[in-house]
Amino acid sequence: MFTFSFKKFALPFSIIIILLIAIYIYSYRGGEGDLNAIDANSNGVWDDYEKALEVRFRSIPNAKNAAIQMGKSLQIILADPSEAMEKDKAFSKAMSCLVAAGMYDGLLVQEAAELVGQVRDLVVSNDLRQDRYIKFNSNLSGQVLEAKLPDLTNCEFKISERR
Amino acid sequence: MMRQSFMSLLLVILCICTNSEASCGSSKVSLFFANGMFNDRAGAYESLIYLWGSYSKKFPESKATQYSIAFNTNEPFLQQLHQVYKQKAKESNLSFWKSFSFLLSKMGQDEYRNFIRNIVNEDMAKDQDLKEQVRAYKDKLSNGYRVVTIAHSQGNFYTLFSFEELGNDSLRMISVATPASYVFGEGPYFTFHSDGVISHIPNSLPPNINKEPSGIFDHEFINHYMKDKGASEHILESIKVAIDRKGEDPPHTINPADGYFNTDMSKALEWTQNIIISDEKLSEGVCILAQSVFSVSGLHGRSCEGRNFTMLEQSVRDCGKPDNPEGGETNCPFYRGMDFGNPYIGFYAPESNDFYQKHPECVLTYNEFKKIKKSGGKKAVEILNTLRM
Repeated sequence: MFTFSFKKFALPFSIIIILLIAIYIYSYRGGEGDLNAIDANSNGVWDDYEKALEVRFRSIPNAKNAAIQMGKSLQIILADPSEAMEKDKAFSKAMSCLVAAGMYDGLLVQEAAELVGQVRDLVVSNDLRQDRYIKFNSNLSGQVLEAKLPDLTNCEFKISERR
Repeated sequence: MMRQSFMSLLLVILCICTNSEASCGSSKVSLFFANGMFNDRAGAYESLIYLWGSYSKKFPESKATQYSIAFNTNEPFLQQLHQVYKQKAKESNLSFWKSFSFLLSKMGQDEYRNFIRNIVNEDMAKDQDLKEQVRAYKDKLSNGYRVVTIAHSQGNFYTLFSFEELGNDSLRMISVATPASYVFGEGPYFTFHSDGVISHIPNSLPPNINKEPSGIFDHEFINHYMKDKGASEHILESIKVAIDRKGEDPPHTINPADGYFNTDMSKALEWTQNIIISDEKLSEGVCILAQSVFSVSGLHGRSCEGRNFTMLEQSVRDCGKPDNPEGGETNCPFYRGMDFGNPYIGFYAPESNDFYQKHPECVLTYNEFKKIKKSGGKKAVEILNTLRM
């Protein structure tokens, strides 16, 4: 006769339940419905983006700091794309800083300009972030936006010496 | 003694600085980039800075005073494309904002054509609330700026509708990859024969430049137009013409706010504006002076600085001088060729038509003009002296 022994199955059963919950949480955080706004070292920069910058911007240190500034302004936008004109001010400043920092690090102005799109792609990197960014763009549609020329005074960090 | 010399030197420097700043009413230029449908906020900034960098390198002496983005986007279109992206993303290995040509290439021919025609059309722009952009352009104009807009793709419709609402002579439009059937103020346009978007838009201006090597999309502002040497040269040179106003054909209006004249002409221009609407019969001297103002408005190849009071003074004095004893044309610039119906009149400020209609007493045959030119010229100089600034 088969008898169900609760004690015998309790441990594996609990492990399976915990595993299922962990998988659910993990997939939720990294999946379509989430910004994946993980900031394990609590420095205000989302981890996936921070890691990508380490690799891509290694040789241009000031541009890397500027990319972090731009990333932070984008994080605020992606968290809530409303009040777009107000949030665009910091975003505009950060883009101006990024191009200026890229030029300071030795890039041509055209190369530095293209960093802007690269940083956007690194930050706006999953479905929800893209949805939110589209919403932000939509909220700006029909407006006239100031285009600040490249200028290091728009940077919110200390510029390091040229190598 | 040294202090006096230093003060004199300072005064001279100050005068030069003041003069150069105030030499031309609307030397201030506000440059706009009106983005296309495939450009997001960051992409529009990237495009403008890329353009600015290329322009500054090619023409370091020529600058706009301000830079702005006349931004537009189309959320339903982007959401639609985003859905396609989600399905095809793994294949493309591209970021969403750089995947458009790839995604469109995955569509069937008919699907692609319909999709393009749905998203790039003037109705879309008409539906958009343009009041903010119109207001911004208006602000720039009323603050004495001339406006130069480089419009890409769908941005052309937004620019056209905004400019048409304002209809100002200080607005200049340069079109890149335009889906529209015309450019405001007959400005220049550049569309590749291989532009894979515009080639599907009915009634768009025909393509006029080649891309080597050509691709299947060839529509993006930086990657296709600005990175093509030929297209980029055309675009930058058009901006130079629009900013410097060199090589532009008249008519140049005499409204001082339009900035076609040096600021030292302001009094003379205001005087002429009043004369045009005056109900009184005009004297010979007044006729000669007003006609001389129109003649200065038609000076070819000159910047606004060149259309100045000295030129007007010279023109008036020349009209009072005796004719060349060896025959030939009169010294009076506005009267030259009058025997043949004055071929220059078409190049004068458009207000000259109102002037001649309202004051037929100023329309003279050459023989009549010869009779009055000495006394009329003298009187014109007298009036001119009261208009000196």
